[in-house]
Amino acid sequence: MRRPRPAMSRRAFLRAGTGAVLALPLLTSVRGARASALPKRLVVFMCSTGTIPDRLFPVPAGMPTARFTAQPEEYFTSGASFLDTEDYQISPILEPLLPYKEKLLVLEGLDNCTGFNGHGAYGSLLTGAHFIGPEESPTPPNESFDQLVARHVGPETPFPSLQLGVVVSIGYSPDHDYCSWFGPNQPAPAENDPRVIFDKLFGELSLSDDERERIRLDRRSVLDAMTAELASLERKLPTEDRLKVQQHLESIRQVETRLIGVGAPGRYCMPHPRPEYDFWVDTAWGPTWNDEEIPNMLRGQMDNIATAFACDLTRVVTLQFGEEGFGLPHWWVGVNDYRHHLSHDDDSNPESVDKITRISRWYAQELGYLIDKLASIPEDDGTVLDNTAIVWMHGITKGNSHASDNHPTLIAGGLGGALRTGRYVRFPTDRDGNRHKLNDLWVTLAQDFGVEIDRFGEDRYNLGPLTVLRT
Amino acid sequence: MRSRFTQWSKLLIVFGITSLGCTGDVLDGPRGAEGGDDGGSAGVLGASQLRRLARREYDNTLRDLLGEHEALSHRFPVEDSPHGYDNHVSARSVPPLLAERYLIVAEELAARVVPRVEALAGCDGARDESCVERLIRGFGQRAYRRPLDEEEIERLFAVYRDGASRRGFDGGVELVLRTMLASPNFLYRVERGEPDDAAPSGRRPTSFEMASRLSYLLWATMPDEALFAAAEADALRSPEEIRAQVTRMLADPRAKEMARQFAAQWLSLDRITRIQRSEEQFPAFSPELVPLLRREAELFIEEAFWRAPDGIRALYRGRTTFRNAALAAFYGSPGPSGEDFEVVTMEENRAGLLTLAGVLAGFSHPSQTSPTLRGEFVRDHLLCTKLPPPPPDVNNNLPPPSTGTTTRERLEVHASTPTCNVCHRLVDPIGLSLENFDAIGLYREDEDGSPIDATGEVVDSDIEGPYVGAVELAERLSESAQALDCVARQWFRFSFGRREATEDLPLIESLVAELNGNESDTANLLTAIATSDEFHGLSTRPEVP
Repeated sequence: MRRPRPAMSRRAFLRAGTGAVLALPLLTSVRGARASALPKRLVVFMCSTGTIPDRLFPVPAGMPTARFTAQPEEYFTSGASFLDTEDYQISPILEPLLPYKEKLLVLEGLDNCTGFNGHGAYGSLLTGAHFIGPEESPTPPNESFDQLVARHVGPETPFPSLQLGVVVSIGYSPDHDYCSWFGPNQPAPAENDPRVIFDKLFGELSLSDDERERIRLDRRSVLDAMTAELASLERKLPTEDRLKVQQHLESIRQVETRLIGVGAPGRYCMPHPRPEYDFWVDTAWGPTWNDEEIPNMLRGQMDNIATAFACDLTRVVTLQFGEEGFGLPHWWVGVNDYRHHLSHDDDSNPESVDKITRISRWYAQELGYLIDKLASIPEDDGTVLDNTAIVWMHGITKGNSHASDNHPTLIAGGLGGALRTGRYVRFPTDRDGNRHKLNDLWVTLAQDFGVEIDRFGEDRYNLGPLTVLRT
Repeated sequence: MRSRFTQWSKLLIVFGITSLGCTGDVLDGPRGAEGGDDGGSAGVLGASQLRRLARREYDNTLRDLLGEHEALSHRFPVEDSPHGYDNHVSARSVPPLLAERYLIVAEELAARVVPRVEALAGCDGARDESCVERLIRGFGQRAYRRPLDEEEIERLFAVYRDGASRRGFDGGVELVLRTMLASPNFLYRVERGEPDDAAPSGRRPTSFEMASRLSYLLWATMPDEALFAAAEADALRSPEEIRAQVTRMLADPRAKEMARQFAAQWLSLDRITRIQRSEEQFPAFSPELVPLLRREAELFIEEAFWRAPDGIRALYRGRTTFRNAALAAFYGSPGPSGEDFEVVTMEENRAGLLTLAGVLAGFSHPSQTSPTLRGEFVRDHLLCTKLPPPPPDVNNNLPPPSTGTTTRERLEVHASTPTCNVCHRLVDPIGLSLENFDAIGLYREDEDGSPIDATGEVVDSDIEGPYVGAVELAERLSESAQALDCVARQWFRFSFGRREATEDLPLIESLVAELNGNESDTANLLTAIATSDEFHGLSTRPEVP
């Protein structure tokens, strides 16, 4: 296990920073002949294991800012009134995002549909439904919101969606491990290695046309044989196993497009430098990821997102930082505690509250890195950021109470003018005691992506779209 | 300063807790057909006839097929483990990420293997179609773990010819290898079976499928030459034939490795690997101890599985452990003098798995012990009683350690709150009897000045009644029929890739009967599995034409 580390070295920062800066000015958005209207993009940046909401929610201008420093409230009172203001004081956690204030929507008062469900609420965040099925292998009854959008806008790009991760470790329980779901029993696992994503997205850019063609034909040949084998197998197996084979076939079809290629990327599309640090280190129990490179891994994934958007290789990305309830010590912000244990410390422990605040603040700071990258890629009259919605949340609201109500939810980017940003919006309890669930936010955003739905997830958790967010 | 009790009662009132009981049925009830995947079909190895190789099985199979030694499976997502292990028969679908990963890895492997394909295929030097023939038929049979049919052979030849049209022999065989290594016939254990009038379901596994069943059961890998030869001769049916194979296979180091993986998953040894402690609070502890504590646990368990004179009971009460100099110094006892691990007898106040420092520390909180976690380990892992999670609206944090109170006193609220106690009575009293061992597993007589009361009880079990301390607990567990039954169930789950159903109980009973309390316990249990009707049966579900 690790010893405590000093703060990230300046050399490491430079390595991450310089590479990005060099690549960026050369990127302009490329949409290719396929696209018609202005593309809209979605990023879900999913952190986990809770935050300190009192340190994250802003305070309206002129009001006392005691919540930024006082002992946090254990639970949230309902019955707060509706609030919609452009004039607010930035919180300690959101402070690194101050330069982007006018691009942000800070939302309060949205609940996870599950209510209290411990860390298992994670899987319901983007699916808007309780998990069902046997206790040993629970599943949401429907796809997640990002996959719904991906089905709609995905066909225009080589990758309908991408699931990126940093230090995501699964195997505990599906409702803790996966936030993105293709459908029932079909979780969308995240890829932790930015180099793998890089190669997947840009690996062939340096090849000659002949080489690329040869690779294409080779893969075609292998894929055809594999598909034939799977189809032959499917015919010979009982019903339940046929489903597995069909799913495998479907997965092959999805990756086929990418592997065989839809044509060369636009010639203005130039990727950032490929990350070359040591991602894996050897241990007595097999390879594991290299702790020391975690901050670089996150930036590497964010670089991948920016370039993927600029090259229009995808329009829907989920970026998962760890799974819900993970243990990662965030050594680079001076927190060596096992994250999950830290989350269980009492509100009366100012050191622990401060540590969690620092962790969330770092997430916000890194979110700023992504915002920055997207904001510096010109697109028509604006930037890629203007046509994107980045949704940032933590898997649960507050670690020690396992609360799933009142999720601090942040949206960055204007989604092609659909959203009116620069505001702090707090949703109230309505007259009948109903609170908005995240389902309503997903319906709102999905509609803004052109998906024709008026409810999402479980019926009973839909109150109606959050029209107040729109222009 | 709000007191903990007020907070909890406030929450209880606000959410109107209804009585969430632990079921009166203490034994882990077999999971019936409710899940759809498990059980329902008697005499079935696994309800599924399509089992995707677990990552560890994938690595082992590649090692034995290609001679590759680099483990590649860490590139694949970790398996879900609905039955507690990584090899569930109905592992989930292959999502696009995994499908792509299989293909990319197959490309890499094929490219690496091409230079030595003649040796692999057993060609006589000519790099021509006759070599391709050997590759497809001979090597292909090993890769698919059965003879290929003519349609498959022709298809692979077509792949060769297409690849060769662009890059000659090398290009062609590379594509053939890629196809094989990404084939569902390689990635899954496919069981189609063959007709058998004598069988209740009218079908039985083919002899090659039996070879794979044995090799994956005992070695977590593909069959070896001897097993393939036995399959060719259809000599894997009678109990004598099977016993001979099992004896041979148990002597191979791969059997011990398989058992090591089983134990690591059954007993959650990963918790030892994740131990983290503050240097100020625990100066005796250092991160360098972590792999050593894990190794001690592995060796201790291996001793109990294969060599202890009292067999599996040594798991609970054995005093033979393995340490090196650094560990001996940590424990504060005389021991070996070098880096190598040697046999050591435990201290007087220790006996069995539960007194290994790694286990004690692994089931503690970072700054204090956790009788609940330790008790749950015994109840769940060793007695196979599943406990529900705490009610969702309860703040289940322990108060921080403070001078003057013992852990027992701080846990008192579990005992005095009825909705908590209904489940906690099953675990806390067990863990509290281990309180003489602190959060890093070292012995202590008192806790911050207060003497430790190590009375304990395993209520609702066949070893009820109060006792004091870890060594007495060790004796109790070694006398428990429930514990032996649990051993059998865990091996069943790992071997069959699913939880036991009602129909499996007779087999479980017969497995328990094999645990006679001698060094052949584990070997006998595995032999009993391999010779059972279930292991030789195939699903009753009809094929869809």
